Amino acid sequence: MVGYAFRRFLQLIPTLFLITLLLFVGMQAVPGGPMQAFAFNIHMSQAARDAIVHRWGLDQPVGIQYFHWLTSMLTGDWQTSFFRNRPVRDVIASVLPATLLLMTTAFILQELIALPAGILAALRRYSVFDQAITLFSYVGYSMPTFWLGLMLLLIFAVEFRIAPVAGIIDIRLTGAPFLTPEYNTWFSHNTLVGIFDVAHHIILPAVTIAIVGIAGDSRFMRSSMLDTIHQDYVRTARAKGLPERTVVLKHALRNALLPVITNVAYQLPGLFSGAVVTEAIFSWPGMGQLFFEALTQFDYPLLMGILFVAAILVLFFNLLADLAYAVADPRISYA
Amino acid sequence: MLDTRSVVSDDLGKKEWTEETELAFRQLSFKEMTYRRFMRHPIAKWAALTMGIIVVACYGAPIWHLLFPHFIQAPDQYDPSSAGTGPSLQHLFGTDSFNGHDIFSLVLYGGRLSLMIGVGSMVIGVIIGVIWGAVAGYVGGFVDALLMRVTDVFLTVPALLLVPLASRIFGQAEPWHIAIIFGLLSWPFVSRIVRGSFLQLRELQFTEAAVALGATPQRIIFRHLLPNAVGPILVAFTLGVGSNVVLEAFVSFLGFGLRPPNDSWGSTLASAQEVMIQGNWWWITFPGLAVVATVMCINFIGDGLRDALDPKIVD
Repeated sequence: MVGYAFRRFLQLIPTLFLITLLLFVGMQAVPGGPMQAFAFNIHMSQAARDAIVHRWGLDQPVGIQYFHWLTSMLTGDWQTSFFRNRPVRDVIASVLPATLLLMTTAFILQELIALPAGILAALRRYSVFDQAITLFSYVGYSMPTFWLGLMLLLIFAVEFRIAPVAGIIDIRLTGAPFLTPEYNTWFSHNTLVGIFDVAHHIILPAVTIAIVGIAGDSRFMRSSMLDTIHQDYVRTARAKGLPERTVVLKHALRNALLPVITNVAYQLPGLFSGAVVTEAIFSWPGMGQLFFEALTQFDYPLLMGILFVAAILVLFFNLLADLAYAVADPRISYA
Repeated sequence: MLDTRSVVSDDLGKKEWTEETELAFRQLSFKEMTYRRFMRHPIAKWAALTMGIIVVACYGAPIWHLLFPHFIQAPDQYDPSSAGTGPSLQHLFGTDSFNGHDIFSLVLYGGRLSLMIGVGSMVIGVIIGVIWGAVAGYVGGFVDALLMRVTDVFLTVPALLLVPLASRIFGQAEPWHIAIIFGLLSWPFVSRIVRGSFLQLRELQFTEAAVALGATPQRIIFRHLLPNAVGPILVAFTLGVGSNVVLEAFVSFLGFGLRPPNDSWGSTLASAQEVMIQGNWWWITFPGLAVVATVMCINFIGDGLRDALDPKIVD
């Protein structure tokens, strides 16, 4: 098992290398470039422009640039962001908590609703509840995440004004942006208010991501439960005269959860995509929002850093899913 | 040779020979069988009908404009005096608050580009994906490993991040640019499916027979293996169209895709968001509902096709 995990881990390295190389070269093919930020600055001399191009290393061949980037990724601080004047590693580290917080909240919310709903739907097959869940999952599955976010925003933030329109915290309350030193001091003095503030802001984006996820997961749970509930061992358990509760929870559910666990793990990259979309809608100060900002500015080091982290997250989730599969199913052996 | 017809009708106790009995004994062709099984799917039939209506409504928009000039406005027509009004009989989906464009007309005209990009991108995606996956699955070994590593690369970076980046390659993007870019990013998942079925199919005896008869690899791939893999490819195509319609809407919404005057559902939503805070709910609701309705129909059609083409489900 450990050997299998290690081998899978080693396989990731060439994939990652190829990804970064393709992205780095592909990025240069996009017309525009970071210098367009100064295109309309008439006070800027040609010499000043050349100096910036040189400082950013844009006057070197792409191969050399990639080599510099790679060494900086392996040993250094992931190069310096063009427009933030801070190491990319620090910039990403400052926004990653917000994204992970959003993803975790959405994930917990999603599974807390999807799994019980799927189980109930399977136990009461063809009931009104089952039909409602099925309808909901078809609609939810076809719903573009960003539009769902917009609609929730329209209803709860614009019409009823019970939820904030954007952001992760209320700056009038905290006096400083999320996770800055000032914020952290404020938070340590007003922990309860601080938690409530973030919770208030996270509801809409988390619900947005969760709804789409619930649609898929509840259906999967339902069909998996339906598969097991008609198995012979469940009939045997009933025939033994075990209480229905034990039959469902101990005999059926445990087996039904197995494929669900791996499916959930395979869906995790989707959760990240969902977070990226929702951040763009709700101005959530995380990786997604940072990415679209960096994209408009052509901040190459920052873009590469974000894409790198995104790729690592996806590879990690996939590995996790494969391992979960190997652990959960005793019939599969990975020597 | 026995005359099956006479034997059967004798067995049936001189029952009348109807079309139904004919069908029961005749071997149905693949297309006929798929069609009958698809139409038996409870929702797929209605989804296909609705999708047909959506396509006709969108692509017929210029005709509807000629027939009902007061009801359906051309994209360059607007009425500033009615800007920002809610849904009414005159403007079914209300009007935008910039110039007074009729949203219903915008949705119809915009659907043409959204659907074109969805279908066009997947045509490109399927062509590349089938060739890529077929070579990988048929040749196997080192070639397979190499081709699949490249596929991994595309599947690892979230498409959501790649598409906005890639769609800027053409600068101010034309609709067909977007279709090409989406196609170039959607082939990997098709190629995985094709490779998977080819790995199974090439081990079967009919492939062995074809090899023994001296068929060229090309002939084996395109005449023997591909027709057997058409089911999963068709399903992947259908579902891909749905997800690319959504992706186009999102990318255009962020301003990295189509921009006016190339109106799609996404670009309409983009301008709607700017003034959302004023509470023009109709402007953001209806183009989005158009996306949801379309994608839902496409998903149902995909479901129906999957069931109809699945040889494991017996009639």
